[in-house]
Formats: sequence, structure tokens, C-alpha cells
Amino acid sequence: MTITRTCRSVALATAAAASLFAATTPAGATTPATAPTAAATKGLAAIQAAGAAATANRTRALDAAIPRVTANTALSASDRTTVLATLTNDLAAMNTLAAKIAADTTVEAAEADYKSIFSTYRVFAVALPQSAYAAAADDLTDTTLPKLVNAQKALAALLAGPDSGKDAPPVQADLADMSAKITSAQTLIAPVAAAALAVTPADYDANHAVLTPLRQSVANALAAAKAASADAAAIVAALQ
Amino acid sequence: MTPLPLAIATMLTAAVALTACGRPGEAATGTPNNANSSAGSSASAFSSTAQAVDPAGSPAASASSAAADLSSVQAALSAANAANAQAGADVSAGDAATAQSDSP
Repeated sequence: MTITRTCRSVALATAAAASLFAATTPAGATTPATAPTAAATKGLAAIQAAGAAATANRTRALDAAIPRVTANTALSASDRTTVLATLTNDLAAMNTLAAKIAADTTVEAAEADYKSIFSTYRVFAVALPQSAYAAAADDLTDTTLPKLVNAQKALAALLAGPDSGKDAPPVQADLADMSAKITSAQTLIAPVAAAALAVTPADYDANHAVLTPLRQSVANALAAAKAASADAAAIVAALQ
Repeated sequence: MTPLPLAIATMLTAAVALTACGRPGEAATGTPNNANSSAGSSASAFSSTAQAVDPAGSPAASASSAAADLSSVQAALSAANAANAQAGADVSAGDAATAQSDSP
């Protein structure tokens, strides 16, 4: 796969260089002796411009994400430390790469640096989504589900005690469904944060869908928690 | 009636005063409050007395307790829903990042 990506990239760079060259060299005209150097210079400039845009785009995204992660109380302390280490490392790398690509003097060097923006860091494909899915998982694990468990226990106690007169099969069905949904959400979400934060750019290069099942687990757990909350609201309404 | 000697009268007055000791808030809730260490032991003793007089199992206390529990359930559900919404926003942020091209 690495060979495929490299070949495709080289082909694109070659095509771009050819296009730039064609624009300045009419078909059939005699190629001046200095043309290859001019084409290379324009190719280098194009790669440097693309590199500047790509690093700036990622720098903006990281600059926005880092304060959000720092302020996100849903993230566990250890996960926040892991996420911030990745994001700040990527931010520093983008700044370094931006300067390096701007200073490159050959197409080959610029292209290698340009490709590393993507293959080495995967800011959009890995770093940002993995931190977001981990935050969602921590939120569910540490806040949403414990609150729902407490509510379920309190409702069960009320139905078994002071409010036993309001107990009825539909209420018990809601209570049972609430328990089942909480258990389902707990099972779905348990492995997500650690698994998401363990994904590397290399993992993504080997499998571009590596984060997909984790994202799906978060979505399914969110839906289960929402259903459990709806069950609880129905029980509360029956007890009022 | 023969008048009580002064010493005995003084002791009885002191006993009545001690029995009336305790803060109204403690009597209403029956909750020990040992925040002031100097009053701690007498407050605890008074609280025990108050619980004996107004047991939690009375109908009024049960209704009050149930209402309080429902309120706590609703508060827990509100917190759970808010956390769920935050988690959903996090997933959306991750999706937005994923939607951007990360290939040369």
C-alpha cells in the first residue's frame, strides 16, 4: 500500500509538473535548454504552496482543538494527557514541516516533506477523531451511565417501597428495558476510549476504516443511553 | 405547700433549661450537626430524641422522602442527558475532522 501511495503521489507530481511545463511550452516548439530547471522550480513552488496550505489547515484545527480538549471535563485525566500530548506534538510538527517545506530547494525533498504531513501525522483522519471519540466514551463511562444507574436504582427502590401502589406491568417493563439499555451501553462503550487512543497513523494507513467500528460503538451506546433515559422519564411520569 | 429550698429550685430550673437545649433546625430535620465541637455531643443526643419522636416511617415522612427521591432521579436524568448531549457533540466534532481529506 505504501508503494501504491508513493507511486500515485509521484504520478500526480509528475502530472502537475508536466502541466506547468506544457503551459509555458507550446506543442511542437523547441524546448529551451533551461526549461527543465524552470519546470522544476515551478513544481517546487507548487508543492511548497500546497504544503503551506495543508500545514496551515491542520494548525488551525489543532489550535482550535487543544483548548477544547483542555476544557473538556468529560475526558478522564489520563486520557486528556494522552490526547493533549498527541495534539501538541502534531501542532509542533506542522509548524516544523511548514518551515522545512518552505525552505526545501528540490522537488524531491519538498515532496517527501509534503507527504509526511499526511502519512506521519494523520491529523484529520486519526488525531482529531480519536480524541473526540475518546472524549465521548469517557463522558458516557464516567457521567452519563453512572447517573442512569443511580436513577434506575432509585426508581426500583421507590417502586418496591413508597410507590409500590403505582407499580404496574408497563412500569416494570420500562424499568427492565432501562436496565437492559444501560447494560448494553456499558458493554459497547467499555473498550472504546483506550482502543481509539491506541490507533496510530500506521494503523490508519493499513486500514482506513480502523476508527469506524469504534465510532459506531459510541453512536450505539449514545442511543442506548438515550433510550434508558426515556424509560426513566416514563417511570417518573407514572410515579408523579 | 412547703416552699422548695432554693438549691433544689435552682437545680430544677437548670434541668428544664438543659432539656430545652438544641437548635430549632435540628429538631425539624432530626439531622445530627456536629459542626461545632463544643455542642456536638448534646446535639447528637438531641437528634436521637427527635428521630424517636418523628420516625421516618410515618406517612408524611414517606411522602416527603418519595418526593425527594423523585427529584433526585430527575436531577440525575438531567445530568445524564446533558452528558449525553456533550458526548454527541464530541462525536460530531470527530466526524467533521474525518470528513476532511487527509491524503496528498
